[in-house]
Amino acid sequence: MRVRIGDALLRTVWAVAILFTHTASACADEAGTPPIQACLACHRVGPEGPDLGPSLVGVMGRKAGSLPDYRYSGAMRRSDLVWDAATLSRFLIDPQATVPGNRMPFSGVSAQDAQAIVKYLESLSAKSSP
Amino acid sequence: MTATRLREVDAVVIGMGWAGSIVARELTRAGMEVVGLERGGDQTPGDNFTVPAIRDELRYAQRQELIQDPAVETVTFRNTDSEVALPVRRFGAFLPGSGVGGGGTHWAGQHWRFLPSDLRIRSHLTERYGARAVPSELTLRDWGVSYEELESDYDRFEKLCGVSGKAGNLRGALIAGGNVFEGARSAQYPNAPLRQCRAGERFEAAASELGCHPFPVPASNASAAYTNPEGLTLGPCQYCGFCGRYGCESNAKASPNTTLMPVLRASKNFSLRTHAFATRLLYRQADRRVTGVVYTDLRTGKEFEQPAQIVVLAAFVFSNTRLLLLSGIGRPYDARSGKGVVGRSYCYQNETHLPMLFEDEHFNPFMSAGAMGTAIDDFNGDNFDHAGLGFFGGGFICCTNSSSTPIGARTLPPGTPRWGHEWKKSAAHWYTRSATLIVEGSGYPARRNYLDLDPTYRDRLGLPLLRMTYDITGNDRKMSRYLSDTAVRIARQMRLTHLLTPDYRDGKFGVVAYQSSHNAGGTVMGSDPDESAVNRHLQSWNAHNLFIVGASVFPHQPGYNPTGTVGALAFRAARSITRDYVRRPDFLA
Repeated sequence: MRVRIGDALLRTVWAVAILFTHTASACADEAGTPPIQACLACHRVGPEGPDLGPSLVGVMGRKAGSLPDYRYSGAMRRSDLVWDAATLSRFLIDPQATVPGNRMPFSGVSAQDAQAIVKYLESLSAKSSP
Repeated sequence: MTATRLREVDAVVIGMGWAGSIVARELTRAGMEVVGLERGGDQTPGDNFTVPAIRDELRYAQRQELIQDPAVETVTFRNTDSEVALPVRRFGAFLPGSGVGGGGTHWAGQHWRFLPSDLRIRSHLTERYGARAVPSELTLRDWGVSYEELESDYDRFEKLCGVSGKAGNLRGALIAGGNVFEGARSAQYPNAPLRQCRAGERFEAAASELGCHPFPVPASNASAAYTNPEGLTLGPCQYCGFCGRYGCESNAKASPNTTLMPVLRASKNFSLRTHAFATRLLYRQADRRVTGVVYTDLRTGKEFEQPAQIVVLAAFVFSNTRLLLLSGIGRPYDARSGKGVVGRSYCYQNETHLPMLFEDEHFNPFMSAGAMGTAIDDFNGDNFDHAGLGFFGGGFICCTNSSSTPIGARTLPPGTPRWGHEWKKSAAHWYTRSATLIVEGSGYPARRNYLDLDPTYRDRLGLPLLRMTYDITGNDRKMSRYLSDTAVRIARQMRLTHLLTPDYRDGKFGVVAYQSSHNAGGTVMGSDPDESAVNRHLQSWNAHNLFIVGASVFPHQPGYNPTGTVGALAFRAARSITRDYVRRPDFLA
């Protein structure tokens, strides 16, 4: 499967992310890294990008485990969650407690980081809606 | 059947592991049109490295799914000239990679630089111990490139991979807690060190008590989310414990697939051809040039000729050497006369393992990162005085939680039954109480260790296999025993319950039990065309538009994992091509 990075939106997102890292990484300090970066290693937030995890385009308001082209765990498909600020936050803080048996290989983030990630994803969907 | 001749491109790169993907990226960045040939299939994290399938020890570690298929191509092996070599039908001692990403997909991520003295080993030993000190058995040579020349390339490769570590020598200032023996680095590591495992804490305490200088192993397992200079993001390592021999499920381990391939695939200048098995380089000896590469599509059996202005040979040690021999480029090495270059100075890393058991501990070894560990460098290279020891070389010693998966990790006290109730009880009791010390010992070249073409055995396409003639040298046996005994001293200081015997390298070298995938040499670099296959730019002495990249150019195997230097040399070769060679296509000074 091809992963292409030509897309302008994604380039902007990455440019911002790089800007953040470069200001922060001079002393290898993770404090300034935007929390969404941990997600971007596996998930895409534009038409192109990594495909280890399902796309986060339009994730706000989406039923969990519902993208047709991604192979979710049974646990995620059966979870009956709809992603909004509350459910996403809960999931990001403790993925296994929120959807037991889901396959996202990630142990979770702090409440503060979860809030920042949700805010970022909300801003994405605000941008992409007409 | 004649090969189908394809359209000429600027460069063709053979092998899409670390070496090849770095060079391909740098050449496309300079605007060149590049074709990448890979004998294995394509692999992407999304298609190939996802949970739950990737956490399958039987499939990946025992049945070696990501490892080169010996039914297509293997090597033959013998210890000495007087024996008949036989084919390796299951890779054991070492595990060459296959497929896009090569060994870079299934490495564990130990990301080291060599010592400044490693790269000028002969001069260094002569200066310190006298001209007659180096035993005649060893054919040690300087590399032709200095650490200072290579520093910016080391730095670039570390930034590409988001290496986690702690500097011990920042622009000449020594920093406690980092590796104070390392060469001066221009920048801190891009990421902070990984978390330390409990066994590492005990090792650190013991090593410090003995006056050594412990530090975190530099790891290409990202300790935090990291966006590399290519704009590609690595995730924070989750310490899942499935690292070496597996692809990374959370994009935390740097691999060509995660740090380079998405950009290469998006480049209009680059085309990737998988299942493309290179069989020979087209060599015009009179012009001292190569004109392209012949390869077979393993899916159809069809043969193609890919003409190119520049050929970059960037496969594993065995394939690089074999392709030169099959193509008649450079004089094959002859062990009797000691003359010739191709196949010379084959070296193997002398890695030994020391299993330890602690009644009073719970190390939780299932939680680990591939390169999570604590190391000392006090006994590496020439960091310690070798006067009167009777050998040269050394290695780092480290304590790691790596690879404690359930089938392979079974450290039990001596005398435990091999099966049954008592075995089960013991296995359950000791699993979480076990840890391992690893000695990453050097391998120094000797006249009688070399690679050539096998007179009998052939690969799937009917071409002669590469033959390894190798046994551990007297020098390396002494080095290995000294280092292993040093590790035993540290283990005792860690106050363990049971100390198992280290796998001393006293007997003949064998290819069955895993030891290390770190092979080196065969097409070595150097400053003398009579003793090296490539010059200090990794340019062939025989064809000025042929560059060779990979551990096959190492004139010896220092006491570290090779990948950091493979990547750095790839950046250096690419720079020589794009900055110097394209302007004046001739032999570089």
